[in-house]
Amino acid sequence: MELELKNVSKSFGEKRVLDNICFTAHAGRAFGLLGRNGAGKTTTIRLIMDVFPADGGEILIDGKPIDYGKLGTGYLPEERGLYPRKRIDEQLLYFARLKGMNKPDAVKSIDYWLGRLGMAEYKDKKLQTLSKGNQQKIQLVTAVAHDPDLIVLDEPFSGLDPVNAGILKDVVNEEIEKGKIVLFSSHQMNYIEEFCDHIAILNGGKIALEGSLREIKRGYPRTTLFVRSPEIQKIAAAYGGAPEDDSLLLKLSSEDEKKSVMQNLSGAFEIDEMRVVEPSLGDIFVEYAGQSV
Amino acid sequence: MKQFKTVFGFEFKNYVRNKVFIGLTLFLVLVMAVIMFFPRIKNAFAGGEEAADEPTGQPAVLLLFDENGAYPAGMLEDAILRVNPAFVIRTPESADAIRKEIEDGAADYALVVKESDVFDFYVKNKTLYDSTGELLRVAATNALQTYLMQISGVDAGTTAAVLSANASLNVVAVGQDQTASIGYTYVMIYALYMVILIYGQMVANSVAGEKGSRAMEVLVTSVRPNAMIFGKVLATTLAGLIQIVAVFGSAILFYRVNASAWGDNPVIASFFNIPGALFGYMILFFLLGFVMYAFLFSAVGSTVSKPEEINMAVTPVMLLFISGFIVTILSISFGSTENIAIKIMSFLPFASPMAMFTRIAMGSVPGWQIGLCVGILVLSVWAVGVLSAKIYRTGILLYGNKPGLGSVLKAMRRA
Repeated sequence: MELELKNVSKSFGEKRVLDNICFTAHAGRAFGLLGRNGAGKTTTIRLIMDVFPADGGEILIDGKPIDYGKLGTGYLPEERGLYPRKRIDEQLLYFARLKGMNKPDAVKSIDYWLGRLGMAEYKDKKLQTLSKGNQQKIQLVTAVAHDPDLIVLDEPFSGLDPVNAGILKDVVNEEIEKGKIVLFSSHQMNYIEEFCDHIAILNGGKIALEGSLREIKRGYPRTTLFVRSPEIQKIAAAYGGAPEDDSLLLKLSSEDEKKSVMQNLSGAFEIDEMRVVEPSLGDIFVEYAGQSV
Repeated sequence: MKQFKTVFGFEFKNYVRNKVFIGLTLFLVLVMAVIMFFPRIKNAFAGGEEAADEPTGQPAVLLLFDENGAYPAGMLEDAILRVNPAFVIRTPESADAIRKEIEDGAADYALVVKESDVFDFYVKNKTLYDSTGELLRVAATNALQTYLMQISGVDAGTTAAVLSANASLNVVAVGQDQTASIGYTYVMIYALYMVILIYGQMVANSVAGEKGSRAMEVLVTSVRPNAMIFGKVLATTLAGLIQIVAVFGSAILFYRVNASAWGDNPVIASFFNIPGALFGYMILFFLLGFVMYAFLFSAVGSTVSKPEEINMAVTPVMLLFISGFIVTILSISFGSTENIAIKIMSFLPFASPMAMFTRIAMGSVPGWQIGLCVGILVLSVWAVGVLSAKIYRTGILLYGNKPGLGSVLKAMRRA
């Protein structure tokens, strides 16, 4: 299964928020939507979730317009919030049933998820008695309890402590392994880098960069070397660069120079580790989303 | 349909589990109980002294004082005993003692003859339903007429015959007898007024609450807006209906239990002696009016960002409703239920549940007019429902400044 956005546009009043957005997200892989604040991430997600209609373009599942009555969708909106004064199990049951589950299945699934997220003891509590992070975990249950095919998570890691972020990471990985389409947006590059095979960077309502993360990284000149050696001071004296402890980054001007430097280094010095450094997603993000186009 | 049922069940449970809802219902049932048991409660507390005030209690003591001796001895007493043989009549020593005796409770009433056709009537507290004054006026008039005939030389037999002659008048109300229908008409109008305002506010708050807590975004991606708004409104309607049935049902029950204690009190009877057909109309107009306003209130609720902003936003709907209410209540008060204003109102869907019910209850309305009114109303409820669902669909995601009518309409066209 694949989700495809084709030339999707959206304006609010005079302001064109999205301009001919195109990307494809595949089942069994996570898709990361990146962009600075106001770049159009949440609007894109809301269009995918049919919160409001697009002005133009198509949103397709396997080449056909989405039938939201049939496609199971799970959604964690950026604006979190359920019913603060209601019991947790009751509202989770309500949402699961709205998503078409029958009562026994819904109860079973909710129990599983509350247990999975370490929230079973809060089942009969009112939502407002929970901390913000725990409320967010409850909200995550509304997005996954009904076993949807398409899971859309808008900034899922914001507000979570490292332990909870770890749990969420596991959950996302499990869903990816189950063959779901998982699409999420985040500011936290490390998470995107960890999960997402595929990314799209939005800038000013346009796609600034889209594709497989590995290929994107490959597309960058691979001319920086990381070297770790007991003789690092000597290497620094010979090739320049500022050593840190026993390692050093060498920025070279071309592939040829890189090759010859690698050969020379391994011949002349004792080397513990030497590898080509790829740009981090953070570097790529700053490059593509750093300034408005 | 499945989603509608889920929303309906969830919302309905919210009402019946709501402490305010339960508390209010119990409170109203209690109020009804106190009202309906009132005659018994009052009797239970009434001691011997107070009982003298009761029309059904001890015979009342009347002081009779003819200041200038205007009437022959015995003539006034006879006239008074003719209208109420139960009076115990005493003549006080002087006019000065009268006020004190009444105040102390030694006597209940006093009648003082100032001139042959001018009387003073004394009573401690003039209660609403005490007809003694009117009774004594009749007696005094009789005495005066007897006296006047006597001094003009008419013999006693003729005088008695003339005074006892009476014409009888049978009331044949071909349409409605307003004195009979005014009680339950008022009750229906006020009940509709209260219920629409209270529940309208509740349903608007419920929608605004979902927006305020941001549950709305998950909701719109889970449920069709039509299922959402129809489920909400109809659950509210059922909750309202249950409350009404509980309150008025208990009132009827308590009235039946206390029917003997109430005797034939005309006021209370006018609330309960509602003809079957009218009761049917009452339910019909009540439901249609309620559902339509519930739709409007939920649509309005969807245009604000948080519950605190509701009060300002519902003002136009309230004004619409209150204008219909005022015209109806004024028409009832003036006993004029066929004036042009109420006639117009009885076809405007926002006012017709109140206005048309009043016209049916208190006058004669041609069948086609009732049919037309109900037809317009049913169509309007449907139209308002669909329109409200659209406003709702549009309004639920508008945050920030409260949108004006223009921006809502614009957003609806886009949606």
